[in-house]
Amino acid sequence: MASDYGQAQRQHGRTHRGSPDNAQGTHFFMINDSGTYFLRKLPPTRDATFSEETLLRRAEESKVELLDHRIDVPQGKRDFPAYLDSNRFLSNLPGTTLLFPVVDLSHQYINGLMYLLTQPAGARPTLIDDRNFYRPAGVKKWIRMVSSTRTSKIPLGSIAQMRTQIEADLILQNMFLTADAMGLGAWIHATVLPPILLGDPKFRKTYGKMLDFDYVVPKWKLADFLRWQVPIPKFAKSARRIRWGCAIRASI
Amino acid sequence: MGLRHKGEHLIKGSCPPYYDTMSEAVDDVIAAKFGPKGIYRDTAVFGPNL
Repeated sequence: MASDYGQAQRQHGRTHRGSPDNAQGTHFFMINDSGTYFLRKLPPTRDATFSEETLLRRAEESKVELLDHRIDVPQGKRDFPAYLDSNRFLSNLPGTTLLFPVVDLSHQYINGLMYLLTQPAGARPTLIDDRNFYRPAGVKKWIRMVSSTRTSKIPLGSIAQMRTQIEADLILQNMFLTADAMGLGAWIHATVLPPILLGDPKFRKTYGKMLDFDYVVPKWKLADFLRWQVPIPKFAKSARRIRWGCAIRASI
Repeated sequence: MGLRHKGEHLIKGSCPPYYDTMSEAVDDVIAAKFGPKGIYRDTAVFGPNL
């Protein structure tokens, strides 16, 4: 037990949030009156003292200024689908600080595959592709090799997350509690619709490039007619997957 | 998806187009875990005898 405790203490980045196998897939953006920032992950420090000066210096070092102003949708458009219901009156207003998480699952997708494929012989599952009609996901040769052994089946879609998607929720809860303890007043809420804030091409004509993320859309294929949630080209521009991101708002 | 700013990748997906192939992306994930700067580089803590 003592050994486990020591190990956890020395694993970088594990002190403030649960992260499956240290995936660290969550990135944060900070939005306030002075600008819009990406918060860079800093390498651990071994010799810095825990002090106000250190904390302020580290906070400043992590900030990457993306815009010299508070990012928001154009005037007159703080309404559906950019903001949901009453949050248009509450979220991302002057005088507030918004912390907005974006989770990248791609690292953990690979890591999750390695986790499963390094299981002992006989315990390794058969990977199937849930976006391709649950057919073997490139593992037919392996299935033939172990045909005498019954293995469990697991869809690729379930490996992509493996709890990494809740990192952001855990961090937001910690921020929420910390801000309240500081007397700032904060809460978790749905802010700008993530595709709009990130700059999904489907929304750029109306809302602009916003954070200007790269978007790479796979070429449409005939089999996409049968695939779940892939719009046919005629409706691609109007297909909007509505899922509001959660952010934390803090204000004095 | 990813995010670039002034030529720097702030968020870089472990997949093309940020890597030429998925094989290179996998190599990078392994390096991030067990490489010289990886999170499990300390063999005294994460060695095979644990």
